[in-house]
Amino acid sequence: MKGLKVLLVDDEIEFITTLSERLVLRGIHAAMATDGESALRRIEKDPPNVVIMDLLMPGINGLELLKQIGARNSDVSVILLSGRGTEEDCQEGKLLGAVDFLIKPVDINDLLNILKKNHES
Amino acid sequence: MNHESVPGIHPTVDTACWNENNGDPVHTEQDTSFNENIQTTPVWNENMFFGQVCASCTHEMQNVLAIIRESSGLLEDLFAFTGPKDWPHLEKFNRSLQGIQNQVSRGVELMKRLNRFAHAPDLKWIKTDAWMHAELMVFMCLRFAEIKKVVLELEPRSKTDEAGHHLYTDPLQLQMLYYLGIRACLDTMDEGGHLTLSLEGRDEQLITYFTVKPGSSEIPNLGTSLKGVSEWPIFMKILQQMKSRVDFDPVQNAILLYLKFPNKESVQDTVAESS
Repeated sequence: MKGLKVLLVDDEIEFITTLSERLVLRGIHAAMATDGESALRRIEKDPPNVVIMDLLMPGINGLELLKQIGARNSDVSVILLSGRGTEEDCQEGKLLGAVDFLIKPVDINDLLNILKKNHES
Repeated sequence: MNHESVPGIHPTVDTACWNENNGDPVHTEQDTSFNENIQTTPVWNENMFFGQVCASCTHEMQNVLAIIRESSGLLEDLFAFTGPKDWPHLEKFNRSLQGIQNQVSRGVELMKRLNRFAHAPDLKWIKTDAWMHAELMVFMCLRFAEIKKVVLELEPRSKTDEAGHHLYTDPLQLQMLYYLGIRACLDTMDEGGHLTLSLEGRDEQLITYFTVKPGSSEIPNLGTSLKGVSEWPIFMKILQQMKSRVDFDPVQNAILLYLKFPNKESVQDTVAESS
């Protein structure tokens, strides 16, 4: 998975900073955004392979962001990672094209397996 | 009390089942054909206020736990990827990190259950899975059992038992009954005892058994002992409100809690009384 480009989107900056450092140690390029608007700008400028994002954020929420990513960049895979997701959010997220829905806190190995599976497919 | 509907709160919620990952209720279609008084929209009340604040905090706690997990994971990674292999404190360092991870996992389980508990007041008089409520209350009472050095457990169930465990009731009252029943039994027990809850759907009734196996000293009579504990009068009061009854089995040393699957009239009566 070396060279894989991941964008982490979450308003919990401490969470994405730490997670990105862990991904970088494994050879993955990890960028960060703390809200939907800056995430969209970053995707426009430098499209990642995968976006890992929270559902509840200030401004554009996760599901709306997922819609907008799907409309603009069909090649970008999205993984939802939230502490607050309901079953409906999960179903709606998958309908809107999210490849997976994870609940915080997540085991790094589970996340890596999903990234690997997605990368290989 | 004057109940007022609050717009914007979960439109339809069935607390019959929960999201396994975070404890949130799974929203499903309600079977309202049974009785038009079965509640499908939440009504604002004090319990719901308490529950909503509590549920919101559990979600925030999941974020806190996620940051702790990632931070300790990063320390582990940094050492594994770049640290000296001959550091004399490596074993203690790893053990300490493992301790943090274990406590995060413990916290996650607690938060999931607390979230489920916080959603109990969302709806009254719904079709709900009593076994899941028993499981939740057993989990919530494990600490009390540990303090008394008593083993507390819920008998597992098979897929075929599941249908018989669903009944129309108020989830919060049902949880209170289980909680008070467990606490009352624990109060009569001593070190080395064993308290097992098991559920059985039979003849339009759901029977919950609280079976007590004493520890070092014999309990003279469970029925008599329970009457002396502080939880028992409240347990009996709720039981009355739920139009249910309790019995004792002296051979098995068990409380048998009978919850009737209510017919249309009894639900209407109870809804009228509680509103």
